[in-house]
Amino acid sequence: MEANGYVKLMIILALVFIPTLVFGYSSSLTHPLLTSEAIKLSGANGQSNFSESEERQIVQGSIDEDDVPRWLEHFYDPINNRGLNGGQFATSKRWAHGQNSTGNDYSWESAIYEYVYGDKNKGLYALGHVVHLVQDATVPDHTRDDPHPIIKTYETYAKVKDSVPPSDPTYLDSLDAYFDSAANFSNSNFFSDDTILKYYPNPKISKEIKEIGFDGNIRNYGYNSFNKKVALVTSKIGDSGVIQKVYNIYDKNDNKVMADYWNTLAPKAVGYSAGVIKLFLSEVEKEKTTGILKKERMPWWEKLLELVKIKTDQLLASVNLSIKEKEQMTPLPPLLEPEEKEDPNLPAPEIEKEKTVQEQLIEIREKLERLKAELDGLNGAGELVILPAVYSANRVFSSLGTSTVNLEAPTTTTASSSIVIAPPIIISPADFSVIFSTSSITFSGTASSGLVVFNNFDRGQATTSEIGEWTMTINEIPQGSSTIKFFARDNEDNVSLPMEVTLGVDYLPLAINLSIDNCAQSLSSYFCLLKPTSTLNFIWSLTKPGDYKYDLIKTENDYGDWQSPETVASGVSVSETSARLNFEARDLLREFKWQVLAMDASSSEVFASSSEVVTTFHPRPIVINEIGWAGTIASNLDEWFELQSFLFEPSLNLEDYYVSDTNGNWRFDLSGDISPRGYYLVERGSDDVISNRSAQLVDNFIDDSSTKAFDLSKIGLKLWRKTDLGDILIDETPLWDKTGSALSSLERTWEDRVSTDISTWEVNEGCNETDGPCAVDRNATTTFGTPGVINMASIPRLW
Amino acid sequence: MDKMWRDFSRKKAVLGLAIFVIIVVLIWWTNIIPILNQRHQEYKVLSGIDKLKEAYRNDTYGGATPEETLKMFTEAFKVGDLNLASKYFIPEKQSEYLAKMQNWVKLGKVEEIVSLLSRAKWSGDSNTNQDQMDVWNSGKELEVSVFFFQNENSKKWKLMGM
Repeated sequence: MEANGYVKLMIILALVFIPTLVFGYSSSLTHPLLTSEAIKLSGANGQSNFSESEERQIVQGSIDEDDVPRWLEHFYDPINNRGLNGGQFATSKRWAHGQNSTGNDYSWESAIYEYVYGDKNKGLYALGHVVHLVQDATVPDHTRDDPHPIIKTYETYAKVKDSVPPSDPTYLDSLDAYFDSAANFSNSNFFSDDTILKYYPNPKISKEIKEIGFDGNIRNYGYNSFNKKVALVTSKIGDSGVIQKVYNIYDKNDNKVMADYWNTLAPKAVGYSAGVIKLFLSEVEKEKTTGILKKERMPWWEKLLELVKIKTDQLLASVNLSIKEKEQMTPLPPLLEPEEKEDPNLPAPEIEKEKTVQEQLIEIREKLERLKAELDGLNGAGELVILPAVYSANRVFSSLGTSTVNLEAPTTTTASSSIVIAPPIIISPADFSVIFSTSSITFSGTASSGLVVFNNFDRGQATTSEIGEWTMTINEIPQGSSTIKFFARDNEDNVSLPMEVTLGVDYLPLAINLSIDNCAQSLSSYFCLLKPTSTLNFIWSLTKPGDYKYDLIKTENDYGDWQSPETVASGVSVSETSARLNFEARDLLREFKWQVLAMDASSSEVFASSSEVVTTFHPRPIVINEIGWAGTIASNLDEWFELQSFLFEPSLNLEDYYVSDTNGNWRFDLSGDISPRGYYLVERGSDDVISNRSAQLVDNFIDDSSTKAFDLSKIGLKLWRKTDLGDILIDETPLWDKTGSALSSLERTWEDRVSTDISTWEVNEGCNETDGPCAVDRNATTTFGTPGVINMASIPRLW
Repeated sequence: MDKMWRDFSRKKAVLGLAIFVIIVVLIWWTNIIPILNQRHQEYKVLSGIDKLKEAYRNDTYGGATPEETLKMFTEAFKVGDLNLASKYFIPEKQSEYLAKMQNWVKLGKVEEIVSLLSRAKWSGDSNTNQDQMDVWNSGKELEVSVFFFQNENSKKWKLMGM
């Protein structure tokens, strides 16, 4: 390893041992406060379920989770399902389960395992770690991917709080549900410092209200949809020196914004944490019964031994049963003897009903006998398969109150040291061929009294009653087809073969996914930015098939005012799921929202609407703005050029852009961002070409540094963007012949003219100090042109 | 014959051992790559934060109060010392505001902005490491805000935005 490598390694190791660098709530103040409150809330009547020392373990875990580098995994953006830095690290939801590349010693599963089988205190300590993560999911910085190593408004405010407003515990079915719910709540309803009204669709400012502060001054506040102050409305000095309205979450004088954040988010953090603690205790009980985690964590050789033992036991059992049947079992008597009616005057419907039940029983018995006969030839397999069915049939018969079925019930048959347990029988739902319209299904059936029935889907379990009945509800069954296995187990951990059911669930409402083909060629990766086009191609798909027709709706943004929606295509045929629209955006910058409505083909009742897709059109979002073809006073080889963004927001990333000489002699890729209305200066060979301006990119233009890159007889540039569908020409200048011309730069003037219009270009041979500091070349001499700043020709002048 | 057989057996043993070693190395490698990658990502982020903290540690610009910092900034901005003026901002905002100020100068806004900032008032104590000064119009409505942050190392107040 090189010296540099050692330095890096030492830094990494040093960082690991540096005391906490907190990104969420303060680990020494806020997390202990929230965790202590949650422990109290999780118990009955505000009384903790834990001893004082156990509580200390949970609180300590919630403090230590912030150790470096653990906090890198404390982010969960639920909108994009990713962790810190756009997914560079695992989400806190995955981290809580140890599902990241390096593992997590204090995961949810470790907590349960340690509490049940190992060190109880260690289990509670790990629980504290998980509780910390859930609390962080209520902090907008953590759910809007907005880490602030130094300045963090909300968390700094939270640090000085020593009590939490009253809260109610939140009960959810799984740990993941807690993460999803907490993260969605904080992401969608509150801002972080650098994501105010950007990067995420919500929250929106639903209203602004002016209030008189304690100092008698009037302040304006922005509210979210449930009436909480989410930003102070104020102003800052914009790039052009003009005052611009902005929103800020810091509000010093009255602290009203932060107070609303704390009063809403802190009780949520406590309520969710209390729910998680309660869930932990219930998962612990479940684990004690099912032992599923224990089995998962067995070393491979123990699993192998276990498997061999089970197989051996099964083999012994089958041999034993086969022998036993041959020696002892008498042929089964006729299933049903017609019963004498005790009262010949019984009403006819009852006789009919009794006959029907009997017929069913006969049918069942015949099926069982046929099945047994077919399987008897398979080395005793018949017994193994038939026994559970016989057992279950007898259960049904007895529950129906008939004693006429004389099937011996070999519920468990001891063979040497092994026990064969019949799998549970499912009576309800009776029909798995139908599609269920709910994600929550209650199963009931029969099994031997005292057995525990459990499933492999959510590890839920139920104890069979004295009459051999069990019931369990499985929630969150996903949309589509699922296979669930049910097992029965006795108190010695003997487990039956599975009873497997496959079922279909369809509970999602009809939804339409709308996309616009043209957006594949968007000039921005953040939003659909297009050059004006003659056609737009819309494609949509539905989550469920059906007999629908569609309307395509357009809403136009007229310089800040969204107009009324307009139907631009009506009653699109039921067989179509796409539309092509002739369309041309006017002016420089136009924005449109598009939506598809699905309606009943005959009644026109609207069943569903797609989410809105926004397209922004600009004929020249980014242009070649000035060309320093002559170099500078210092050297004619010190060539440069400049791009400008005509967008008001946001920044454009130029990673996929490149510039080429119009003659095709050279080209090179651009990189980095160009800010809204900003300039992007490219200097040749060195950033000293224009010594008092910083270049956004330095490139050699051509290999030979002793030759001019621009061909003086044909000066011109093209700006391109690479896409999967081919390169798109973004902007192009005219061609100039500057052979023998005076030294100058070429600069663009009018924004509304196309760049190829030569009348929009002017020659700049000098510099006007009254417009600001002039450009200076590498010899500190004032040179011509306005590289990196507004063009002289674009500055409005009165005379 | 025996010698040939022994040689053959030895070769087989060596080959078997080599295959075993390759398999072990492959298994180790496929397990270690994600961990190394994770450690590298951690290093990148943590060293970036360390650089920022270093910048704060070395930063001595600013006043003992927000008002003092704003005064120091205005004086530098007024005389065109934009580099000095930008240093009164927090390190992560210095280049952004240097470019803004260059633009303001270019657009002839210096006097207007200095005059605006001279009306900024500070009131009430801040109980955190952030602070704010505001410009109010005659109707007692908020016109412009200037935000500050206290560098915990130097205890100097820095500009965050205006």
